[in-house]
Amino acid sequence: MRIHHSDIRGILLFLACLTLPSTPWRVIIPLPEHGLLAGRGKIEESDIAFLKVGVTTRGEVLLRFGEPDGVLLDQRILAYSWAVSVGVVAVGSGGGDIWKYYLFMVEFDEEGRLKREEINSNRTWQNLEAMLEEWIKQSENENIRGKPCKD
Amino acid sequence: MVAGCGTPRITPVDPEIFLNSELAFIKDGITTREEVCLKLGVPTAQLEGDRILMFQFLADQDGKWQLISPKFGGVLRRWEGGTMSPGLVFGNGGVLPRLSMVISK
Repeated sequence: MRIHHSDIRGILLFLACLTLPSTPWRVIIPLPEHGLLAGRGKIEESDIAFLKVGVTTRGEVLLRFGEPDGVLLDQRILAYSWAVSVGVVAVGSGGGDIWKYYLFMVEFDEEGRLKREEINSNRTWQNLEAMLEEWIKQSENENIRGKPCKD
Repeated sequence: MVAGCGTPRITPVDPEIFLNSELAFIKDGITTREEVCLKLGVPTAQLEGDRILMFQFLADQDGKWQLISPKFGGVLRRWEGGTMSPGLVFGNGGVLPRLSMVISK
């Protein structure tokens, strides 16, 4: 018989509710990554193994991963995001999943060829947004530096 | 036995299922960008000028695929489970040489 994480989670939450007193309490049950709480699906390192800097085109990335979740800086940066559950938290009579957020960022040069790529994860979305902003800043700075001065 | 159920991955699907229905009008190397836009309407994403067009389809209660608009959560897109996202890459002459599709879990 196969038991899924959702079953285990339910059983653990039920036991926590039975065994803990009625005073305010909070139980955190870590679990291996499972489920998909947001996004279209996970992108594994093995999925991006085909990417080659200076070779892979934006078209190839789009054909493999589909419509991006974010298109930034005149399409120089594409972003794909998703979130998974890494456990459950039970508080009083409620509870919910513990989220872990992922962001796959890809940057292309002016010819539309891969310049860099990175998969990041964090327990808060704000931290990933900050990473994305940092990427955008870097890209903008390099773009300004790379342009010839006009008389 | 306890077995894990992992996170679903972004999954390419065979566009053949649409080529037999909603995208049946598409003929490799013949169909033009204009024909695609006239048949399907406004794409949900348009990249590299209008060389790459992307659309989103979601099945209605009767199982019929319907074109849908993109949904946003903040600056990023939000996906409903089961959304099919075909991407069409057109060649220099504006005709379709490549088609792929991704399904939202």
